Amino acid sequence: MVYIIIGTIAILISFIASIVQYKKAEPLWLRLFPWYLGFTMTIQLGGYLYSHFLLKSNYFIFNIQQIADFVFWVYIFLKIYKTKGVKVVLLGLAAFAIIFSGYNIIAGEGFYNFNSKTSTIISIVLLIFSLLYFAELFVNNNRINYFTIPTFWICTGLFFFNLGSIIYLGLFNYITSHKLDEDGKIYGVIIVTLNILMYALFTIGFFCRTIWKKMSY
Amino acid sequence: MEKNELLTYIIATTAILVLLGAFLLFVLLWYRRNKNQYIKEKQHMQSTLNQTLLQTRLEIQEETFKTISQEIHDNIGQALSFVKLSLNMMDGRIPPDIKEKLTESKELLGKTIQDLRDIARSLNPDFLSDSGLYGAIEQQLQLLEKTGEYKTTFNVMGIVYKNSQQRELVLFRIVQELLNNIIKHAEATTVNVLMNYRVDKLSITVSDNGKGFDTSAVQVTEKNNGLGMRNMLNRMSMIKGYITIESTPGEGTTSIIELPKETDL
Repeated sequence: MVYIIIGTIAILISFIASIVQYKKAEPLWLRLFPWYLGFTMTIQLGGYLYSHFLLKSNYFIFNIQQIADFVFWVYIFLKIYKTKGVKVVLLGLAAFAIIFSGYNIIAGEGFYNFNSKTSTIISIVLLIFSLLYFAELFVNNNRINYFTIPTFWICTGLFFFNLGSIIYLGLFNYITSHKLDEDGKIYGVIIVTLNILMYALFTIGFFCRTIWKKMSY
Repeated sequence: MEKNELLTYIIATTAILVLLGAFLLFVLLWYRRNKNQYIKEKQHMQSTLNQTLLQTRLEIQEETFKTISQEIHDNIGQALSFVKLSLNMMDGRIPPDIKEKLTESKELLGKTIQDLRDIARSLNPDFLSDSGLYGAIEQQLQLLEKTGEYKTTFNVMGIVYKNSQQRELVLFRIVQELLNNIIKHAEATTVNVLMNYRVDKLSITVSDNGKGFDTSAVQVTEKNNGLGMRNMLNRMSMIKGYITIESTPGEGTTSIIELPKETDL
């Protein structure tokens, strides 16, 4: 329960930050974040309440959420990338991940079990997306201050979350079937820590221009 | 493998991955810091080179102006004066029917000599040190008035101070360019110049009541041929000043030149 509360507070802070900065959001796709974070928070709480009160598995909720979540990130990265070739790679990887997710639900791990393989594939693909963004920054020949770019903070948050969660989520079914983490403590520590890191970086991303301006004067 | 051992492996691998990620980002930031430094130095060198080139170009231009001015004054002017003198000498020996024509020619010649002198004066950079910036600009306006096609006003506000010779010369040439543009393109009837010597900067406003133009369209064109407006912008940046040109088709043009005081730079 404590992990749920801490995780929710992290999203909530980021959600409020995205609303506060809504009108100043630049680039414009940043305005999608209040909706995205609101949706994520609702799903997290809804999933928890569903399993808590109905005493049923909530995995199917997260199976759907992770695909919706992935589609959101595909859209965001399409907006972020400058190079056409990178966009083509992104679309190819996205198509592969979505097809795989569908296949996994229909003929693989099923709808009511946690789709650990889908989760791993999505994490790997999102990691590649983040790395491609870093590569674009790496080869950019203009003078850039990363700290003033919201995209940089957001991608960094996403990068760390997926990097840190990939092992646990990849082995999720193995861990649960062998009852290696029955009380969910390890899961809580890893995922909540990564969540806090990710949402903190998102929050910095929403405010980064203002913060940097203040530091410069 | 024991349960705890496996969990320890999971946590350790996760921690190592995150640390690797952090290291990767650190490398990226470090690389970017160096690259930014390199780009900054390159831009600085480029800008210095451009400034030097521009300055050299302006110096050559001023030298050319000076030579042309001296040529007009010493050769063409002298020759024309000699012609006028000869015509004066002919005065008593010609039939009355040609006399009228001769008088007209002498007047025309006198005007041409005066115009040439004015041109020679305005081309000569030494003219600026003799008359001062506002004196030089005022004389340019008087030349416009003399044509009979323009009504001009000239106002000076604030306590007049002197800028360096080079800065004043660049300012003067820009004002000349603006006035030339008015003559060539504006179809104006009035030209107003206001010089405002403020505490921190000198601002010169040149406005006309001509046909105006679409500034965005001109900027694109000038970018391509690198003349006129772009030239003025470059010159202004060389003396660390600014020029703003506001114009609407049908409503005239206002150009504002601003030059911060040298001590404030």
